[in-house]
Amino acid sequence: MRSPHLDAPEAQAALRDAFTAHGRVRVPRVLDDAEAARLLATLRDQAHPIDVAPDGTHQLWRHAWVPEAACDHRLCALGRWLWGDGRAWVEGLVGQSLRPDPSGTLVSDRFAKGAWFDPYDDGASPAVVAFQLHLAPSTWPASFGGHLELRDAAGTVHDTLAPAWNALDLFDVRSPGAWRRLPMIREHLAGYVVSGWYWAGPPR
Amino acid sequence: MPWPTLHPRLADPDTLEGFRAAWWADRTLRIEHALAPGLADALVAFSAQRPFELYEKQEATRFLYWRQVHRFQGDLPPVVAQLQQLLQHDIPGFVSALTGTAHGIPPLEEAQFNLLRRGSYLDPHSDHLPTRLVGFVVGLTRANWPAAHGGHLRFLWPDKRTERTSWPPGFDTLDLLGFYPTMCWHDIPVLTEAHDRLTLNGWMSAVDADGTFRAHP
Repeated sequence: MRSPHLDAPEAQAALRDAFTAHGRVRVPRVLDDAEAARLLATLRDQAHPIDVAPDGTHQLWRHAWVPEAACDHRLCALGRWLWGDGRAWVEGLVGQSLRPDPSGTLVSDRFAKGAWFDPYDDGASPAVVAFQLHLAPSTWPASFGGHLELRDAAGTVHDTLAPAWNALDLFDVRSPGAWRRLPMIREHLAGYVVSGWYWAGPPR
Repeated sequence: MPWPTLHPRLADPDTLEGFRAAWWADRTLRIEHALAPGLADALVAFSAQRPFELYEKQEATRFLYWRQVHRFQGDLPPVVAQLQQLLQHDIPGFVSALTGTAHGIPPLEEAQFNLLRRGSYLDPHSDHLPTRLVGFVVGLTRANWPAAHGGHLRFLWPDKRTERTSWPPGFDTLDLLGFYPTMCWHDIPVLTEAHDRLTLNGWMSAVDADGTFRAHP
């Protein structure tokens, strides 16, 4: 499932260095291109019902699932890879043993007009690495919304991440104050982002 | 008083004449202090006591907002009876006097409060249908906010992108929008901040002497 170009030692070293230096890294062309295209088609067919937080902190169009071992659905196959071989590859980048979020849950969010979430502290969870697999066929200006903001506890925005095609973002969420915010999406846009968390695994 | 749920001054001939001139200028009109004293507050208080349900239209033209429906069945609570009077009789009666053309609405089975909250929007659309001659919006929104936050009613040029003008939400307002002979495009950009835009909306047809409803005179 992983793109072959990522097997090159120099590519891995560059990604590892970036993660160590910045606490995050974007892995471009993470999946085989054909597989990424098939996943996008699958996500387009998958219902993403609206999820409105009763406390008004988010509005998202979301599909959540737990990949099953014997399921041949493409999203289950993706999930097994993210929790299995993909996780093992990420361990090499972040330099520590990882295990899947104990719930096993993955979520896919559609980049839908009217979607947003307010700042939340990713560092408040027991996870150590958060991941986001972007499957947006094209990107768009920040004024359209949907560019993820990386903030500190004081609300200062340190970086923004534009949606991308076939890219995996990895975030170190161990440091306190790893706040995230999704600005309101103001236009009709295309694409999805698949998210989840890795927890600390057994010592290697 | 011909229209008990509207402000009494609307029946004054001189006042009506002033509105008439404004209406014929471009067939749009906002009337401030439009409802009978206290009615706008009563409507807001009534709707606030009940839940709204999400309405999501995800077709070529997409809408996302919240609504609360009150059916005109059985013994109506006083506020719902006033709603029926306002929507079924008084607004069409006023518009008939304003335009000189008899207007009406086929018998209504229900009234609906429309609420745009953070993340709600109406895509560019035209309300131009054979059964619609004049649209109305009763504004029940006390708060004010800048257009950059979204939630303002925009009038668009036929490219459906370029703004011709826009109206902020209003409280105790009656907005009238003519759909004939000019095709009229509108949208409400997505509300990016935590504001609530509450309205009652409807459309009127012309009514022939024999009671036939039709859009175009």
